[in-house]
Amino acid sequence: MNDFVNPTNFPSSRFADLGSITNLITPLLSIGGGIIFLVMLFYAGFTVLTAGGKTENLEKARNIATYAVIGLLVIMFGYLIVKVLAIILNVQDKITL
Amino acid sequence: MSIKKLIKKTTFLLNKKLLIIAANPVPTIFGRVESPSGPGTFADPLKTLGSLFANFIRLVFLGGALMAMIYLFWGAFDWLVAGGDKESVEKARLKITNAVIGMLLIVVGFVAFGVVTGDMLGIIKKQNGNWIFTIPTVNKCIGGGEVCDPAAAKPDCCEGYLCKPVTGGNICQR
Repeated sequence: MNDFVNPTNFPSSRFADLGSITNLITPLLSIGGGIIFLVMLFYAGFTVLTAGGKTENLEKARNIATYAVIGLLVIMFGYLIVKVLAIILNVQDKITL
Repeated sequence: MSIKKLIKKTTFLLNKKLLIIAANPVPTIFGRVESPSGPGTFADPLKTLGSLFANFIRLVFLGGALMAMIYLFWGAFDWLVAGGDKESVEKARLKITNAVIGMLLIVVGFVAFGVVTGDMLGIIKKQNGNWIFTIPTVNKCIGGGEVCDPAAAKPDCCEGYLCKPVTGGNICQR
């Protein structure tokens, strides 16, 4: 198949290996995660704003904000964790999937 | 026709299709999709995404400010008509406090988002009032008229372009 499929023209053959598709998808995922983090924090803010005197709403808002922050921390340190693991396991140079 | 023959024939046809696809650039096979002729914001989709995002944030702040105002007035009114009733006063006080805290939380969340995604991760940046998403692309190539390096093993010019020398450097040309 590689003989006649031109990688510059044929869209799906641009995904030459697992690394290129990972490079494509992980930044998109982190952008999506960032936007969802913002939306969740706004939602938590609105919940507190409209809570009045209800304590259960405050509890709910705190849970939303806490888990949003935890999720973003995981996104932030995802690359770091993988690279530290690569150093620990002595994977040379680059991580190729 | 047996199933084996059918599979063989389908594979043959598929291969023929692939050959056609491989021989032509993408737009000649799939055609070109034109966006609706709106106010011209669709010309640069990334810019449009950024302005959409900015408008969303503006809308959230507007809604938050309105809700905060309503709850502040509501709390004040409750306090006004409480008339010495301790429980009613406490409720009104909580309404006002939580309205202020909620508004602050929206602002703080926005700032935290800006710091984490813009300064630490660098995925969503703010430049001159525009939000810029750093979206990855497949097979990035150098387009026509842009600078290229002929000394590189493969001057990454786009399909149909060659790295040619001009006065003051080299650019990709047809």
